[in-house]
Amino acid sequence: MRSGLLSNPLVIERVNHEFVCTWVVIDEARQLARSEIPLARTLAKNWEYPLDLMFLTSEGRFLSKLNSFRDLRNAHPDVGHPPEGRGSSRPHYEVFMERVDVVLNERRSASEIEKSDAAHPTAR
Amino acid sequence: MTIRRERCCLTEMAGTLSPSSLQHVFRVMNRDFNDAVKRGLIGFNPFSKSDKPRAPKRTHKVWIAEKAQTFLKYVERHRWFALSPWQYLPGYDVPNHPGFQRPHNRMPARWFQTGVSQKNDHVMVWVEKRCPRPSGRDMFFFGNSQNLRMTSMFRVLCVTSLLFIFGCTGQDTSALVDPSRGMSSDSGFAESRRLRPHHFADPSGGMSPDSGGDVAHASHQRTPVPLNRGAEVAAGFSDERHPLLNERATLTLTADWTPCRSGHTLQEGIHDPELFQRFRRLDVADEQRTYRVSNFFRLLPEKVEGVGHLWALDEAATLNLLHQFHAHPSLQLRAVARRGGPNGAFGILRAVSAEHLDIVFRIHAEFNVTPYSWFTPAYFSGRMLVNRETGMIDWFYLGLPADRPLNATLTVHTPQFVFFDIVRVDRMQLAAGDARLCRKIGWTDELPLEDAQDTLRSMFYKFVDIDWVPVKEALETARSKHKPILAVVLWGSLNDQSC
Repeated sequence: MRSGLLSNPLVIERVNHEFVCTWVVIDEARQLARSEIPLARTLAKNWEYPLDLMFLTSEGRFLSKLNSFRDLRNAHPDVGHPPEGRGSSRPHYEVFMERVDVVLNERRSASEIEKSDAAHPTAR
Repeated sequence: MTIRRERCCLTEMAGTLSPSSLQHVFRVMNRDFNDAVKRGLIGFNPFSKSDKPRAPKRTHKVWIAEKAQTFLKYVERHRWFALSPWQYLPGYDVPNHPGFQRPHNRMPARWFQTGVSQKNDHVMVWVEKRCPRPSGRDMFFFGNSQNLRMTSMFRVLCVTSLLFIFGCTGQDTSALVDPSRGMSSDSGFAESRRLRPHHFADPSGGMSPDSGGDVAHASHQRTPVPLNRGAEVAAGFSDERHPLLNERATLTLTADWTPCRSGHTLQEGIHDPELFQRFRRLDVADEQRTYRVSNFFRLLPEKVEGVGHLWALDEAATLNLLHQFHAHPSLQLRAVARRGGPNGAFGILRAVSAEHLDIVFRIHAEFNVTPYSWFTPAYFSGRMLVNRETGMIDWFYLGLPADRPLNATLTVHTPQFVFFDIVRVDRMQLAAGDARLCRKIGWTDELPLEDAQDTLRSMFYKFVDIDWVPVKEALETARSKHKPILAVVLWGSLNDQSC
């Protein structure tokens, strides 16, 4: 992941522009979750082996995720994966960018609805 | 009974009895006639003039590949198969064998010890059986295969009635045991076989650990992970004498390596703990070793420039130090089922004063624990305090960082499965001198240590160009910037070799 998707200059540029990026080892996330850090609790709760790319709102609400075994199937031949982790020729870059678009569109729609609700509280 | 009659007797019996029975008959008769002579019943023992019958000398026959394979196919169904030493040899999936649990339930695995030792292109496979006796003392059996050539076959001689004699594949496996060929999985055995799907561990239980998967095919050429090294990063010193160091001086490094703790895979019982034992036994090769300071020349830059100057460390000089940990270090990361690397070792000049230089290293290395099992530290972080006036090294440290909960990867590879775990090692270091000295020096120019380490990290990884925020600060930053969060959550660390 670090030498593939996350080292792609286009991915780097986009995530730097669109997101606040963080990474954490699951053991640390679980420890932090016990220390009542809400973001860590959300991450630990939604994690699946071995690696998740999680998308969350700016308030820390879980939106969506990509699991490296399940969703990023075009794994490098050097990497060990179960069968469900292979079988697609779609590059990770495409899968990731598509999910980023979906997440960002959903977020915009959600914020538009929130704004609309705020402007017309009786409309819905 | 005459001598003639006795010889006729033996000749007749030789046609009907086995050589060992014939020997037995001869012994009994010889003893009885000796008794008769002593008692004065007969004048002489007719057997005393005879040649003792001899059993033909047994020779070990070498099996051809087909016969060995037939035999292996048969014994794989045997309930004691799991006690065989296959777990130490490439190619056999003991924990997934259906008979695995039964023998272990009845007879603890600790009663059996197996191992493979090597010398030049020969291999010795040995089996010990240790059964506790009522007296409390262990009964001890030992058998070995006496330097059987790997190039012709594997053969394991088991001396107990519970174990077997095994044959082997007849393939050219000399690469496995030839140190000059690095015991790489990319050569020899692995290249000549198409590996079968392995069972990949799933400590979360989220995906089935029993689901099969593909490991890199043997014929597949592993693609090296590119470094993020810029063209400006030159090679280090390569000459014979470095002007900064006194070549006659010596430095004694003390090594320390604590056993690794078990990781998720073992804690959750996905793999047999026996597989982990080879890593538990790891210890330093030499607790103390004295080096000539000339051994450190090639860890220095060609010439000392300003703070922040980067260079690549010499591979041979780096490996020389790593040999104090283990006999088989490598700067080429080859553990299977993952994209190890990028490979490399870099140094940076962190601080300078009139008297001293402070140099920081980062080294990616791996140890071939046995053929097909690897211990991969997250990385080695080093410091070297060079005294420019005396030409001595006042402080040296090279160790495995322990700031993260998991900092090393264990890999055991057979064609059937890959045992893979990320574990913690509390201490793995080489050190000499006083670490506090560094804080006492009045540096004329310096980089913060974290910045120096970040710069070294960026030599390896492109992904560090992403503006990563610590997880504790991510929510607050996201709120202030009104941006969503992208969080990478993973089993091992993202910015080193432990995952």
